[in-house]
Amino acid sequence: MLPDIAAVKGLRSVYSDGHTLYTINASPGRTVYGERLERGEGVEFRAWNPTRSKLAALILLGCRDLRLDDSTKVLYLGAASGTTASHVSDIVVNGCVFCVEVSERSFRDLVAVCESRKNMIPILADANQPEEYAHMIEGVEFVYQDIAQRNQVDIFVRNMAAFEAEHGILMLKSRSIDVNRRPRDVYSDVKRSLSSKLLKVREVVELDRFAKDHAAFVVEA
Amino acid sequence: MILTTKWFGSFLCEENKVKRAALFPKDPKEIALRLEKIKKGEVLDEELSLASSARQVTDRRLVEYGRRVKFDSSFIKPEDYGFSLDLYREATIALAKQAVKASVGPDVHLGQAVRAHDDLVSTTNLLSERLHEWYGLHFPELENVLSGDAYAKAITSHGSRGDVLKALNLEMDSIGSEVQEQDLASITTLASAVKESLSAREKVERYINLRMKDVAPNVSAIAGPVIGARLIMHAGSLKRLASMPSGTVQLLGAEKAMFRHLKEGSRPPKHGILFAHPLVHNSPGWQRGAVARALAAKICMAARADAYTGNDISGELKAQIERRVEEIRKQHPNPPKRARVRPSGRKQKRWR
Ligand SMILES: C[S@@+](CC[C@H](N)C(=O)[O-])C[C@H]1O[C@@H](n2cnc3c(N)ncnc32)[C@H](O)[C@@H]1O
Repeated sequence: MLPDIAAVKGLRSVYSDGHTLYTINASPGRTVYGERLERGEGVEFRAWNPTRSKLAALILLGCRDLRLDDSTKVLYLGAASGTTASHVSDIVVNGCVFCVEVSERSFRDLVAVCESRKNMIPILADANQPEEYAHMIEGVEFVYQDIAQRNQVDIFVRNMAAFEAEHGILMLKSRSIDVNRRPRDVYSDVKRSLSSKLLKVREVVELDRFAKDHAAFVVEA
Repeated sequence: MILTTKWFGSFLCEENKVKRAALFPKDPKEIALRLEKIKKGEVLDEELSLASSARQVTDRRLVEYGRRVKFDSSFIKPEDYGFSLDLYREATIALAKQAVKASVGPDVHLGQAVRAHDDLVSTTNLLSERLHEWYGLHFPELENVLSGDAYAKAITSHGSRGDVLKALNLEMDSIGSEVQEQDLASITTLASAVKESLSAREKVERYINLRMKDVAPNVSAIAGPVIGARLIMHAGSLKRLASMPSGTVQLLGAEKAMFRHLKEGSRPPKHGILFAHPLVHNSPGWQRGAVARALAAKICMAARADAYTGNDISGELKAQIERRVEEIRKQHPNPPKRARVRPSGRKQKRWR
């Protein structure tokens, strides 16, 4: 029996059966992190786990204003082994995801995922140094960042500027900025410092239900 | 004119127009080769062919050929020159595979060896505790006579209490009970396993020792091969260890305690991995922090020598450490007054 999987209202290329989110598998037959696959009419859906992927969490928590369409070019900082990046790659099927990851261990797995997908580009580099990989990136419109580093806000701001991206999402881990401060205080500081860098924060969504002490900053240049 | 390089070629531009282009071959391997060179900071032939007309450049690699400027080159589009995303993706994957292959350096193997060493230590402890308990039913007094490898060996070669005593040339009464042949056979099997894992541990240690002499001889001499390898593993690589401040090295491996300290205000840790170093754990509690600090400072210098110059400075470093430890012992011969000295921290249960 087919589950009733339908497009999520207000979003392109993201689907739901009422409980679980899905994207259309751009690499049919393959899973990336052991996620469930469902056959649909002429397509294959890939279940998208919100506890493994903060972007899925953000969508489940109601954010509809993602600014990702099927041809967006995305710079993904901190791609790890490609869990979330692969779903982004499903969403921007005719676009491209430039995946930057610094850890060689994770990069190994990431390369394997990129090999089976037409629009994912693996880049082994440190996101602190955009000039080191600038020549490998082409026409980026959107920056997605998930890096648990002390200076994650600065990294995000500099990459948004270096590639003149119009939109971005910063997945922020409050504890990597300051373990002792209340996450909410950290968030409002971050919001302020993003604004001071001329980035407009459209939404701040706390992800605690799925990822403790994390928040998503939906940003526009 | 401005010289800039993109993944598909080098370009001389003026007022957002391309004046001359030196394109890369439309072959993923050739493109990967050039991306690799750029990563290493080398200058490409394509860039050299254009360099003489350049006034300004966009890349740090090219500063010899012009002043460095910020330049938006997004108007130079790969598709206008017949380069496709597919071609690029193939190139980046080829490059990535090279990087991954190159990344399995000797430090990676050392890291695995240290983990294997730790696994063998805990396996040995586990099996050995079981052996003592089991054989102890029959001959509890043996552990007062023999320990470690010798204990297990005596059981595998001689078996019963009577035979072991005969072999050791001893006579004593035992409060242990008699065992049957089949019980003894099983105990002997366990004893062989203990012996095996002990000898495997020694072999891994020898391997670590040998590899460390190659990879980081100075660190190995100052910290000891296993502790040295563990520090490198925690830091991520020898280069990273070499670039760390010594306070960080002192506390490598104590991240959990540090976190607890920050979060719950427990006492800050004084040492991490370095606790296992004889100079530190043989010192009385109140001297350990200072000794660990001194040791960490020298290990940093050793790591820098190993990573960058390759000089052997272990002799000097060892002498400096000894002098410094002596100073510490003289300066603080007695426990500080009123400070509660814990009875010497956690007891090390490991075989080292
Ligand atoms: C929380 S994980 C990302 C998980 C991933 N976004 C997902 O949902 O599938 C953070 C990643 O950022 C990487 N990272 C940390 N610092 C980095 C840096 N300076 N540049 C690039 N990547 C970095 C880490 O190696 C790690 O893989």
